[in-house]
Amino acid sequence: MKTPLRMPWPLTGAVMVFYLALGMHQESPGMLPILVLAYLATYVVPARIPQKSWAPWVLRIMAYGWITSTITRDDGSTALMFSQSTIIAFGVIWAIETVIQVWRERPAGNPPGSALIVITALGMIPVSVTPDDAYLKWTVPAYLLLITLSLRALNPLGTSIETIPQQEDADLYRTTARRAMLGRIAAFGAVALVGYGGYQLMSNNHDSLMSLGNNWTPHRRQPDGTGLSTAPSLGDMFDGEGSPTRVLRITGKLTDQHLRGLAFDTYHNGTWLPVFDDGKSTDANATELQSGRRGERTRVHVFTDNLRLLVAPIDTVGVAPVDDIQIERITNRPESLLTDAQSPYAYDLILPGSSNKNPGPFAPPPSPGEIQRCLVVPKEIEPGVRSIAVQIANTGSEGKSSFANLGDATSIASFPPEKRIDAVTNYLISHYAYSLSFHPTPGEKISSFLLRGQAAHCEYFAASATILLRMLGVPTRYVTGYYAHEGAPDGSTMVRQRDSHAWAESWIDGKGWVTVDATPGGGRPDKLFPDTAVTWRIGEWIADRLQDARDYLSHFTPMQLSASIGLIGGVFFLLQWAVKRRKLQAGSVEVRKFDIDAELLALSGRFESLLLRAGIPCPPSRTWEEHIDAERPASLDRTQLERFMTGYNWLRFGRIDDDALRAEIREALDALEKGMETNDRQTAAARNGVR
Amino acid sequence: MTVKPLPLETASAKVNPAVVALERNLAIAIKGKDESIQLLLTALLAGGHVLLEDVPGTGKTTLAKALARSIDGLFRRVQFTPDLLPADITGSSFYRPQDGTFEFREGPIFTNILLADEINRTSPRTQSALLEVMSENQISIEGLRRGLPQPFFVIATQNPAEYHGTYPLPEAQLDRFAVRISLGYPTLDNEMDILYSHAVGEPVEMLEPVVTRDDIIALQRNVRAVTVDRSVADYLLRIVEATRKDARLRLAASPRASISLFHMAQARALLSGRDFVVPDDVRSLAIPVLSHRVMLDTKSRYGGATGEVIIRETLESIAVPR
Repeated sequence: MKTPLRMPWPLTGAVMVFYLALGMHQESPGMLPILVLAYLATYVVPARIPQKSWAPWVLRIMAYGWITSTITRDDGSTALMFSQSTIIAFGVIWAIETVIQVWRERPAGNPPGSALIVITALGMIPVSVTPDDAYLKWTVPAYLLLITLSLRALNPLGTSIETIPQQEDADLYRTTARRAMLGRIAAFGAVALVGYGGYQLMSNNHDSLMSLGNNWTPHRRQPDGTGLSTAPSLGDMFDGEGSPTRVLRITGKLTDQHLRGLAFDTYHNGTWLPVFDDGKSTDANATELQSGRRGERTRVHVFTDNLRLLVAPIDTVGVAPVDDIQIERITNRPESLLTDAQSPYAYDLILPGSSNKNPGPFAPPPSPGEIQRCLVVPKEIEPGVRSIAVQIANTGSEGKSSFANLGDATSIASFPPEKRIDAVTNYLISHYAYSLSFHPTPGEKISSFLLRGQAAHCEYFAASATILLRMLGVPTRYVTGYYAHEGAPDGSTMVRQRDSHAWAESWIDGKGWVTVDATPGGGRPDKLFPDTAVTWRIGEWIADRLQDARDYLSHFTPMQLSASIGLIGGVFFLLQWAVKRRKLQAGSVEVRKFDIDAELLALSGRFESLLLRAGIPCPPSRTWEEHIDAERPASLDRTQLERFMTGYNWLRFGRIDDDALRAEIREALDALEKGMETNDRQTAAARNGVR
Repeated sequence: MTVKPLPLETASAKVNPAVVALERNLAIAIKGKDESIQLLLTALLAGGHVLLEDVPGTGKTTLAKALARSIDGLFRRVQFTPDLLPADITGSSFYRPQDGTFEFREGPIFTNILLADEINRTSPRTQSALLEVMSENQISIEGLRRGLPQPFFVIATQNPAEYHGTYPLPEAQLDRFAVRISLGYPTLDNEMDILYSHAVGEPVEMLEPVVTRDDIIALQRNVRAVTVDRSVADYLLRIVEATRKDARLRLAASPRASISLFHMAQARALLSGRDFVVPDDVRSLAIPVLSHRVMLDTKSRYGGATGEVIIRETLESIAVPR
């Protein structure tokens, strides 16, 4: 028998280095040992997946499904230049592909492993696009060395130069040697080009690639159940961008497109505090929720599992639970309302008919302590930011020099808060541009953006507005929530995960809390995701229906689901059986033919599994007879084997439709299976006896 | 109550008695070469010709002679030498002075079994004279077509091409041989048998004919009636196709090779007492039928590969129908 194709050791080494590099990126690298074992098993198992087999595609689809189900995106800060989840997603795809390739039969005429080299090169790309390059210093040289060695061993031309007699055929020797050298150089160049080009492409387009990876991998279920960041930190990327997962559907009129979720008053070290704590909450009573006010009702349907926070426009005057869902208020956060209800659930918002100055349940008046906290300018903010505030004050107050002194309460007071808010908003919108990503320079992040940056995402604008307004004496806090803009044909409004947004809100005496959105127009979710493209819409529609189905199925227990699937399957098979029976009675010849084939399939399946049990699975390129001759299994009776194989051939290739023959084949197979069981029992008994 | 024999037992009794007798007769003359004998008979029944290739003294000529003696038919032998001319094989016209006409005298080719001994010792010109005869069972001499007696079976023997004083057969001629058989040295036990069997006299000289020409013609007709399942034919074609895609081959298997393999598989089925072909027929015949028809490029040849190696690798890459 031909020895199976085994990869040259340097190539195997290169693949192992690639797996190692991938393993360093992964938080739980449990799957990598499995891949390593699957790869190395080719050195012992002779069977290969034949060319043109559908098996690789089945493996790929299974593997990719498995990746999406196990890998979750990290919802925390994305401090890395390249997201973990993206690296894992791309790297693992290539890692699995190497295993699939190494199990395939050698394509005639191709140097084995050339595909493998390109695939590992592709796999190394996402792994190497990282700022954390400490280990790259030794993995990459090792990888390149092994790849170079494997190119030598691979010998792209397929002719070993040593076998050419140099004296006899000097010309051939020279040309072969030259070609082999050129071939290796070209192959190495190609690999280097794939690696470098891929690296450039990925690092240049890392924003879009990362959002792709983030969307592709599912969200990690957030234990605190807000669906919004509970301790928002200023990241490089705007979190949740691009994800079309449905969060809410709002039926009715909205007074403000900003749906507020959480508010934060303390800034420290790039993160907004206090940390959301859902441990201490009390039931909110109806009077507290509705404050006895009347207005238009707007219903909010919640789809996502992990949003337990009620979001609402700031001027909402009341909340009415639908289906008796329990609403609670967090003790230390009077502006936040929670529910324990499982999604999908709904609640009604009571929105004011006319302008309403009195704060509703979502924006109760702040305590004096809260006002104090909303005026604190953290010490870590660089002094340069204060001069920006001075500049804003000067322009906003039309050149009155007295505002140069921000500490001067009287001069500030003559500059109404509304005007101060406008001045800050205008300044930010006109001096900075929107970008989905921002890479801050070392140091404090808001200062980095205001003093040295040109463009960033909404978190930076919201944080900057908050700090600048505080410097100008307006009590302001940082708010996260959703920006509702996507109108549906039925008049409702759809809110998706990608519509999450950050802004600020300021307290104005006599007016209550007001929304301050300093993000440039182009950066708002409605501009970032204008719902125009038809293809995009179709994709969303499909995703929505899938989510509907998932929501619907979530009503059932696994037991109910499996029982109903079993029932449907049972009914289907019964129907099929009945149809077949009727056709048989009608004596249709075609059904008879089909029966032979089904019977053959069943027989061959039984025989193959018998061989598998005997520890000698038959490779597809061998006939059974040849395989049995080569393996001579002791656990199977030779005579019965011959009887079965001969008889099967008569039925299969001779098409001899004879019932006695069938009975004999079955008899032989039964005898073989019985013998196998006896053998197994004896082996087990012998083993026990030894013990 | 009579016991009905099981179908498989009746099946094994279906092997043609003429075939059994032939096999038994040949085994007397050639010891321990059952596979080669089987291949030779397969080619005979498939209507193909045989190229016996091996080092001198392994029994090539003996095998051919044994077959000729076992069949009740005409047998001629031509010893190929460098100075042999085409007319020496085909025959030529002679002038008859008594009535002033030309008379055609048939050459050794007008026979049932032609042993072309050491065919690669003669010039390509004479070798090519065999071409038309071998493929069409007829011959054109001096513009006249003459039919050959039936059955017509050529057994050519040759020493491996690398030996001194040989002219390697042209590709076109190699393609006309259904199968190439290599006998190889006998095992020690078999060689011991050979030594003692020669004590009384040449065993091949003592053989008696066991089948007639008509038997052979009938068997050849039966071979064509052996059924071949579509899946098996598809397997056969996939093997041939794979040789055409193999970058190492300068010359791949021709459609003539496919036809040859098809008929050979049918013949092998008949020899095993079946009236249908199983994949194993195709698989076990692929190397003897195809390996001498493919030509390797220079690099692969220097790399140590042979036609046999490449066909074997091809077989390992193609799934067998089950």
